[in-house]
Amino acid sequence: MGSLDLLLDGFASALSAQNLLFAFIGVLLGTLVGVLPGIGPAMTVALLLPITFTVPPAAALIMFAGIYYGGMYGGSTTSILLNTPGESASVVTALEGNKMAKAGRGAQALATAALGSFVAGTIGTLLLSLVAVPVATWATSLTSADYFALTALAFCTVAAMLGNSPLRGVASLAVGLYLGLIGIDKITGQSRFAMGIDELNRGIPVVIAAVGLFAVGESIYVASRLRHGPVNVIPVSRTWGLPKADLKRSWKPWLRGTFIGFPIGAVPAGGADVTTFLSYATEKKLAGKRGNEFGKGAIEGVAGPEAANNAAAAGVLVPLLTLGLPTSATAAVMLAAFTSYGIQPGPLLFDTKPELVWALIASLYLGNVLLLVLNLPLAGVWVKLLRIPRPYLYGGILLCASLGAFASSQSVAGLLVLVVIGALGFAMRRYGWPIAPAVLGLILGPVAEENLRKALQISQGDAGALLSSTFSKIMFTLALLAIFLPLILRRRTRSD
Amino acid sequence: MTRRRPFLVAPLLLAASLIAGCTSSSASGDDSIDGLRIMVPAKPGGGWHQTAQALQDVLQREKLATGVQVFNLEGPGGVAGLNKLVGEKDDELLMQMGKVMVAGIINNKSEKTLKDTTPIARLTGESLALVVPADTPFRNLEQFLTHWRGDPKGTVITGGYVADVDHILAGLIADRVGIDPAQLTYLPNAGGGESVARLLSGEAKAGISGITEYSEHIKAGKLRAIAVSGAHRSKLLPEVKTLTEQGMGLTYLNWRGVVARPGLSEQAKQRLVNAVTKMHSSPAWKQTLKAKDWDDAFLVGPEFTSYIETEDAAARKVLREIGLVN
Repeated sequence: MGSLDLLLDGFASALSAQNLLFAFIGVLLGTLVGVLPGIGPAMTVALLLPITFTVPPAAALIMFAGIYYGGMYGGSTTSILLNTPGESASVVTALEGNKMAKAGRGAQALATAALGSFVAGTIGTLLLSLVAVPVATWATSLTSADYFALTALAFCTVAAMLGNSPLRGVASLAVGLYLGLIGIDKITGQSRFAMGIDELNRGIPVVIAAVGLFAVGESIYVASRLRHGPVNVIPVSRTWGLPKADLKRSWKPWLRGTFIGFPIGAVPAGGADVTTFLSYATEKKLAGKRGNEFGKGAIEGVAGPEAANNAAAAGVLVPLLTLGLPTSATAAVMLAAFTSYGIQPGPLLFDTKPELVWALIASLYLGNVLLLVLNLPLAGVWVKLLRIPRPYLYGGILLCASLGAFASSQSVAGLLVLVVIGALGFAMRRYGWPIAPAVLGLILGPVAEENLRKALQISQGDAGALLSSTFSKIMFTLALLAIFLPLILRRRTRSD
Repeated sequence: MTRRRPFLVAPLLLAASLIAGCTSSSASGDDSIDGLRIMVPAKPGGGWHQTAQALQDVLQREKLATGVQVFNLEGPGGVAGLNKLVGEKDDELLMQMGKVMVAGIINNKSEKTLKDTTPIARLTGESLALVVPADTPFRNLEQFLTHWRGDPKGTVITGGYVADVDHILAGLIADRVGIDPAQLTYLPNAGGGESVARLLSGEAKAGISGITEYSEHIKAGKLRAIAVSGAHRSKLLPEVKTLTEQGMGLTYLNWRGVVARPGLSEQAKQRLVNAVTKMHSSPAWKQTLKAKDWDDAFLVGPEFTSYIETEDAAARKVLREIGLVN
């Protein structure tokens, strides 16, 4: 069967009542958490991971993908109307979007963000359906050494690009790598860093770590500074469409954002956040005589980055599905969802579980349509959410987090681990360490270690084998570039 | 302001349905076991999990038990699950286990062993398959063995975890064909399914794992099966010869069974044994065995207990030969 037939079968499955319901819940929850500052899609998927014990795999994964896409839509609303990004990929949107809202053009900013997200999300999903199978086929020839090189690249880019301080990024990554080492080593049966505690011998479950770092840490952080007054939301009229003049200014940035976002999301290089900055810079450069509008509410500066972050979300799914490598925190948590069903994303996924993958991809097309409907006319409703009293919201989150940790570990010790990791997450948040590198380190660290040991076992200890293939040479070169390029660029801007 | 409540309630509802899903039970027959729990000491999706789900399904369909839940407690060699079981006080709790756990206990140097449990029944046996990538020149077992004898250290054999049945069978075959088991280069994976990737990338020359792990890829023409380890051929791969047929006097079955907590009263033990015995004689169970291509390996009582002891001694011997334990 060709990919098209499989995709059509996927649509049939995605349109079944159950899967459609979960897709709807997913995009609804995604938009919700995207809108609320401080709660992102990664944390939401982490909180909902325990449903993998009761819900069939296709339904749960469809819901998680809906949350991922939805978060990208919802984040822009908060950025524009509150000047507080709902999630990290919408930081750039606030630059122009909030200025537009203050100038009374909030409706147009919301519309270009939602329409741009739809255009980019749909094109991105189309590209995903086109490249996934060729990439997966090619990836079957990748050796353990190649995988190790890929993870090394992911570590370098994630640590260097996320957040504003590379040092904090590296430190956060190190925390994650360390957490990943705890437990009994599968190969030798040695207990590592368990400090004689039996619960730690089983290793730190990804669910508990992700929920602890994201949800518990964030909740304590919010509670710790809950002393300011009510939020100031800029009121906005109903948004139904985009005036012709704005559409004319928006469509090119949408497309440019899409083609910046997708490829960068698809390479293991740090996910959606980077692409929004790139898109913003591109639009500013191309604006020509309109360049002076930037900083005062240029619609291009909303259209481009919003398209870029949605296209990147689709791009991130390429390495996740075909290589089993997550390149963003949400993807990392989604990988945990796959593995808790005993499904290993990777080159063989399209062979072993075609019905599941294609139902997931088909649901992304549907999810985009649902999101457009949810976000364009209902933007006003979402804004009201920003008025939920924080204590209720975070109280509920802490309850869900504890339930989730207990359900996945079946013991009180799991809750204790959650509390300790939650405290760690709070400390990291308090001192401005980005959380995402830690989660990626925890998930990719064991992958890197396993592949490194396998590669060395096959070569009987010859470390040269790590650089034996062209692919691994390219990956290590890119990894070095990822470390040194930002340093060089920074030096140059300083000397300018 | 009234609108905000449903949004808040949504995650709570999800959490509530989660709890409800764990505790739901219905009215039951007279001597059926109410609220039986089956612990799978490994991740979902694997052989133990599938066996536990089959057990759950047939026990409920035959009304031998109600409200049966299956839950996972992952850990190397299943030892985490064993430790948990030893501390349990619940009479209606079974732990899924098998040949893999016998070796896992030894390899992980666990303080608790299967002697600390109450053996209930051995249920199934599964043949393993020896496969090579379809694009290698080895057409049959003999050709592969010739290559292996020529370069024992450089011929990478892959499969599931360290000290898993796959690893042990690799050691047994090596020993049988005159290769020193200590020379074996075994590339472990988190489960036999993952070994497929290492075979297709060309890193491993041969793979050993459960037939179900490989059968899809064999049918797709990516792997070639050159032997199965059971006493007779597999229904899933009828054209593949057994090791015995190919002149190697070796049959090897990966058996799976269930045990209960230590110190169970004779009466409580008998209830569990009765339930699985009745289940074993039901047509539904025979159907399941056929569908999964599992052998019927039913064994209960003192015979099962002494069987575990024999298996323990055998596993110790092989692991010593491979060089995993001293």
